[in-house]
Amino acid sequence: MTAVEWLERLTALRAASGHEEVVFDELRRLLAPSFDRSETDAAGNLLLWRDGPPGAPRLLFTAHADQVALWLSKHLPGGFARFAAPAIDPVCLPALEVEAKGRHGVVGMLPPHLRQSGVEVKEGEKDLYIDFGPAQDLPAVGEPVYFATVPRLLGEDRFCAAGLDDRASVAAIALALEELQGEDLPVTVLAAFTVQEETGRSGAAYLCRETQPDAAVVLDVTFGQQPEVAEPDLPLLGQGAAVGIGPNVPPGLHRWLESTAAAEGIACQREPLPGDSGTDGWRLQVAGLGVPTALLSIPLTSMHSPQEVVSIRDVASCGHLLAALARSPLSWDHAGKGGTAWI
Amino acid sequence: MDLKELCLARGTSGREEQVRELVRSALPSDLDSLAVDRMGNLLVAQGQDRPGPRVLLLAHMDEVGLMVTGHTPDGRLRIRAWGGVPPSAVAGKSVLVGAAGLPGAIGRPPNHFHRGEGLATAKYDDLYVDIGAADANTAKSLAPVGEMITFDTPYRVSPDGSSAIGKAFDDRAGVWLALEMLRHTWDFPLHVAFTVQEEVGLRGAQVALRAVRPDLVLALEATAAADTPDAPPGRGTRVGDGPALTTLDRSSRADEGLREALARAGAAAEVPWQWRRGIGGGNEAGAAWLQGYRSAAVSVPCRYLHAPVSLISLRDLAAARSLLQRFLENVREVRGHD
Repeated sequence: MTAVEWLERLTALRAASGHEEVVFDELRRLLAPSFDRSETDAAGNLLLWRDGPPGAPRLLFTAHADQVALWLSKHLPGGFARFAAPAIDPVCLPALEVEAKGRHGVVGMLPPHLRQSGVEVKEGEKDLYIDFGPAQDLPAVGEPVYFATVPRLLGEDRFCAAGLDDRASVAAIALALEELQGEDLPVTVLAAFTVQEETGRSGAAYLCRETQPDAAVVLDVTFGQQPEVAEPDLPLLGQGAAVGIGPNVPPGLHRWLESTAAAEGIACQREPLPGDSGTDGWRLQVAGLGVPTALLSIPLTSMHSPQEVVSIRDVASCGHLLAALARSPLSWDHAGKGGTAWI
Repeated sequence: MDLKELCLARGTSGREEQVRELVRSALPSDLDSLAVDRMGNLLVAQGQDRPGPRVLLLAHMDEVGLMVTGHTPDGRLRIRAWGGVPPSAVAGKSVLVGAAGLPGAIGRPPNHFHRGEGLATAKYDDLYVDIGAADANTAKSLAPVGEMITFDTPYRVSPDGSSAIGKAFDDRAGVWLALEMLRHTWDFPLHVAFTVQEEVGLRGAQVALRAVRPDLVLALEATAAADTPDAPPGRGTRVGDGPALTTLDRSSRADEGLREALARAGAAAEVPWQWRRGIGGGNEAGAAWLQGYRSAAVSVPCRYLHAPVSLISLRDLAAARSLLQRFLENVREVRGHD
């Protein structure tokens, strides 16, 4: 499938933290010809194995399968409900169409006509509510409530949907597995789709206990430049995935990503990360006896909003870069089994 | 190994190679094992076949610094802290950029234009490193995004030899102490982990601990001293009063048996020591505690911790060495250990 087809398929799914199974089902189904075996680990992460020759180094690609959501917290009389919205800007919410368990609702707001002049109208989540309509049973307390954004193209190269964090990265890994289908590889590729990143990066902590990869490439989305963000060094949409540089990435791994991209003519950018990268990779690097971890991030605007936007080209080239990494045996010779040459 | 040489070596979190090579060159030749793990920790051990508790000393190799995060059109470098460096401390300082150590200056508009405003509100957005590049392209090729920047601070000793002024005492003082302990042959298994990435979240130690699985852990550290005119009197750890033993900090409560044994060792060695005052901060003893290991910390008090220049008492450092030596000689007597 093409990048845009993967984005459409994956953003049609709703999978809040702890509710990732729908994404896993779709991946197992659509990628069936592209992996040798699959398993679900104790944390609930989906692992797709693409076996290399016996004794081959293990290369892990990982992205989180969950997305942010509102969480229904209390029923009110008349078909209304309160909700919690961790990590979501409440400014986006009034008059937003939402969906929970197939039921549609609207985040209600007081009409401007009824607002008392001089009284500050608070629109934090505590003052907001979801209106599911009076005739329906309400979804249970604790159910995730999703943005009902209809995914669509903006111009030729921008894809807009809710949940592109991190379905865009899931799409890139899927593209790589498809590209590698039937090829003989020098490595065993393990594609892991993690649970509960958005609620504390819990899934990644489990990931390396059993799998012991020799190196990992963690994909996530990152903040792309947009007008109201006064951070001049953020990556731009459409210029390729951003290769993280900082303590989360051993210098050798960073060089491997950049040189592979250069050799393949794949555009990429550099993302300075002097501390916590904010991704699963921060946990992964110090899991077990340590995992050499590289970070590859797809620039995205309006993160955690109902209108996340990525460049389709970035997603496609990111997938292509992953495939190229899986084919590059030279770097593995340098790394050795212990992986210390990455440092 | 000279403390000076250790302090002048350069290495921010994840970029400890130079420090690691220097430490490696200073190690005794009779070690049982020497390994660099996948994080970059340097793990050494002696006396592994001997009876007694497996003791692990932790000392981190990384130092705080800055990272190049971008370039201005006129060729200056935009920066962010690499580790906890307050922006108010970096303006007007000399730095070295990249592995090659390109000289740079953190400039500030002349006082005439702002009359000293902005100390409290200093932000990295307003601070730049000037490496003399004429334009953005020159700056990018000399100092690409992601390069480390360290403080270009000389190491100086006061005329009476009592104190040292320099950079990176946190934690090259700990590294020095660990190297000193490796000069002896002990009658129990002694492990030392020269760790990476302490300054960005106690990260190297987490991995080193899983490999070593020790019985007792001591973090050797530099801790913030607050015996300066602007600090509340009597509240802070004091430079010159000897090494500081931690009771409680933000990362853990020190193991009671270890704490007692360390205090006894201080008395037996007849050196000054102090309880670390204040319960803020944290160190690798906390990482050990979280993994279920008995741990404590011995710290050299250091003024201006995490700033481009800091100060320690060399007498405190020597006292820490004596205390540690006595502690290790009697390590079998640590209460609660069978």
